[in-house]
Amino acid sequence: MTQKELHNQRLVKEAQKAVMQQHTRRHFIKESAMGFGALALGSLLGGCNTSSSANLFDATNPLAPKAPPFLGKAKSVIYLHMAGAPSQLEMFSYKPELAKLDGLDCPPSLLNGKKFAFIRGVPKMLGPQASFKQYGESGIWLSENLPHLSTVIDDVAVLQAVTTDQFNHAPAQLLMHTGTPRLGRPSMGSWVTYGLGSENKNLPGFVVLTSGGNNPDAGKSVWGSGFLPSVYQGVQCRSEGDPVLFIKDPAGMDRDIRKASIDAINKVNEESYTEYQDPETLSRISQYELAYKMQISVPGVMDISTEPDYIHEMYGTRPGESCFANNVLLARKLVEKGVRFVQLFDWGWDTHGDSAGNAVDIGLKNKCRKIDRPITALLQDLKQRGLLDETLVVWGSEFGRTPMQENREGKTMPFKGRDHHGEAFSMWMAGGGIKGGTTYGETDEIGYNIVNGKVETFDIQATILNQLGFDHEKFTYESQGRNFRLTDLSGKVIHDIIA
Amino acid sequence: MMSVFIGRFHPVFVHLPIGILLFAALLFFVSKKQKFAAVSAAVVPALAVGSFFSILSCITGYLLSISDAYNEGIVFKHQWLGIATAITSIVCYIANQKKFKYVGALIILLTALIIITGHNGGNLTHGEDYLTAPLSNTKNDKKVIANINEAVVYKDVIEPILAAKCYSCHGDSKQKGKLRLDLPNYIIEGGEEGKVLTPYQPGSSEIINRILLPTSNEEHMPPKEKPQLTKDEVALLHWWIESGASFTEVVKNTKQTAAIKGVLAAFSSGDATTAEQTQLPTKKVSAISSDVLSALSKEGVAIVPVVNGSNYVRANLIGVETLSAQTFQILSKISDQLLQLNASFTAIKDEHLSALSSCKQLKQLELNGTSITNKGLASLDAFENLEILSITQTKATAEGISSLAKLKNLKKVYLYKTSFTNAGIAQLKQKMPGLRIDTGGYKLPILVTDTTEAKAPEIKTN
Repeated sequence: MTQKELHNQRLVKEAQKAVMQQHTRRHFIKESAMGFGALALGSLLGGCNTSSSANLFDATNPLAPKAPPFLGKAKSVIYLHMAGAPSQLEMFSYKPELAKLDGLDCPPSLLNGKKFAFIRGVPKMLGPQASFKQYGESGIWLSENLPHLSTVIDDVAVLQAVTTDQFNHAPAQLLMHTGTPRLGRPSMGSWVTYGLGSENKNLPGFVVLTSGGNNPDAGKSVWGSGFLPSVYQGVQCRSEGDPVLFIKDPAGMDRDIRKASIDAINKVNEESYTEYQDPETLSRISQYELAYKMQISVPGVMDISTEPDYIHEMYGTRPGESCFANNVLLARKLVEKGVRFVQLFDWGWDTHGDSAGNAVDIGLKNKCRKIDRPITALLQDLKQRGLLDETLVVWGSEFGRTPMQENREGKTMPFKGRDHHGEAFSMWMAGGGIKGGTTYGETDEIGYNIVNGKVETFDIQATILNQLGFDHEKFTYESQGRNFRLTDLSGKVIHDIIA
Repeated sequence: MMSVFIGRFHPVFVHLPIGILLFAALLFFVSKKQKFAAVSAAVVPALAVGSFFSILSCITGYLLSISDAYNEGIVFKHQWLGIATAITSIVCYIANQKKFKYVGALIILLTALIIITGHNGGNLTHGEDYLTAPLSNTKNDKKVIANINEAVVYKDVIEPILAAKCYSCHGDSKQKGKLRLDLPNYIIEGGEEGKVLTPYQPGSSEIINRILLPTSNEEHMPPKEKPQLTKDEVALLHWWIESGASFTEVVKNTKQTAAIKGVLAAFSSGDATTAEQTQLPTKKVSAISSDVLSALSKEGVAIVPVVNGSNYVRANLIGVETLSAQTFQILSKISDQLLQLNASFTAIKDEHLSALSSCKQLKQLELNGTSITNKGLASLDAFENLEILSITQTKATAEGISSLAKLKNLKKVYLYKTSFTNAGIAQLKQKMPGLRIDTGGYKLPILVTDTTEAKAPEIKTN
């Protein structure tokens, strides 16, 4: 053995010794205990749950496109949420019997044991404040408030018997989007982005657009990432002014300096990662890089003024303003560019009857006029671009409204309004492998209770995940020692509306 | 119900005598070697413990057999073989202790008994074909019935449903609730809770009611964790009972609603296959090499398997900064695996498409908003499996579009904002009647409601 070989051997030994010294008795006990414990526990629990999925989070490229577990029909989702709960009785749920009861006292059978958000004592029944007709080959009943949508109703599957157990906006919105009425769970868009990543590396996978003057009552948690890495949370964009706040470099800062500063920050973060191994640090690094790329890509995608006039006319958009129509057009542009999940919230559907704007015969009509044209245009536009087959469009809200007229504090309201009603309301889905021209579920003669075809919020989530290629029971993420799923312990895919 | 509870420990206890007695046999034969002579001392205690647990297994096994319904024939065999095993193990124990001459033969007999009894027990819980099923070549493909009208309702339509969803618990090897559904006379007979069906009255037939209960209900069938009947299958069962639950009737002699006709039609066309079977090519392909993958990712091409675990991929060029001939040259290396290509709104040119001509598997091609012309469309001929083509907002004209008729497998084509002619479209439709053509250009009329606001009625003042 030469001097050099001997020297090398000694170096290796020293290195090994150093490693072993690092590996203290405490480490050893911890690892072996955890190891054996996990082994035993894993095999014990194996019988209960063989279906957990592996962690898909790759900190170095969290938004890398990923394959779904089975062939899904849809590649992206546009979810249109009408925050405040529109009245199904003036839009999708045709109840001629209710008209006959208009103005009569509500029978006690409907009130016994029920709790309402605002109704007190004995309210009066309120007949439908819109006329209905059958449309399309499918003959689906729709109200006069949706004249445009009626022309494409054969592409739509209406769920007539959706139900929720929450009767206040914020918890009901959280239940619909995160699977629990409480804070802290990831939203549907976060789950989807976590599971599928994004094919466009220059744009976020999950974009949120709000209109109607307010954010939804549940706040930003409704598009939060919960226990999923924060890179999967919804990125809120605006249709007026800068699409993302502070996306422009400040005066005096050019692109090169920006790049240099981000590189410097990332270098520090990388050092911090090598020291502490916290995956959130990597997440932060990739977010800085995404933000830098977004500075270029987002203003282009988010600029609807470059769209031709006929598209503006089709959607009824008003460039420069903040409105639902603009957001709908943006949603189409984003999906076209490979964004996975576009979540729209439109605020202002809480028609209690306390003002003209909140009356089911005035304000609700105007809200319908603001969404009817853009939504119909969206379906048509997606179709002509060959995107509707791959894009699941969901329309809905957190709950519906009562067939009784609201009598807040037992008094007659100045306008016709309805109270919150979670037992039965309407939603619809279109595109993305959904069987158009179908209705699923039925409510009683006054739209108060479900007769058949009940759909829970979890069933909506299960169906959306199914269309994207996920089994909602197997799509899990481990947090705080157990596997979580979007649908918690419930959820059935609504096979009847799937093509 | 204590006996049932104790009985259910049988599957736990049986493994102890199997393991211990086989180990005793191993020790016995090993100890014959001079080198391992010392282990012979362990044979006796091993046989003692093994015998003890084999008796315990017999007792729990008996309690289980009287509480749950299993195939009587196999249970009978399993029970007596089990008892024989227990007795033989005790005999072995005594023989070994007394150092009889033919202990070796006895132990071989014991080993054989353990294997046969164990196999029988396995058949009882997992079904008789559990072990051999992976070897047999029977495919689960849905049977195509050439002439559904001449088919026998029970034999061709109902029996396969029962076989797939019910037999595992109500068949030859297991009879939960004392019910068998695998032969007509058993179906008529019903189970311990009475008849399962009333001919002509699906509404009062237990089998239908149980299936329709919510899955959360304990009485729901099949149990929540087992494969459920599809809506079509329930409809078929309902229809069969409604038409008298006959075991010989042929389809054409029954009354059929439009819905049932539709479901039945799927039998003859065989299109009751799942989406997965129709979308993925059956041909096996190798995985893309990591060199090619990293070259593509360097180019900015997003490559993702169409489904987890598949080697077939989808490619999206949206992230490519400078699209060049080189990008397509690398792409052509994945020609066997490329199923979907999205090149919409990229700088893709006609000649790039011809570079991809080896991509025979390509099913979906998106070229929206590109500078593709008729020349590019002509080179699409190479994609003989192409099913979906989007060329909206391109320079394609009527001439190029008519050339699409050569793509025999094309199912959908999107032509919004191309220079198509109505005559050309009509011609294409005539040549390819199954093709879905979308030329777009949808217009929404301007309605009064689009431009006005509903106002509150004026409040009358006295």
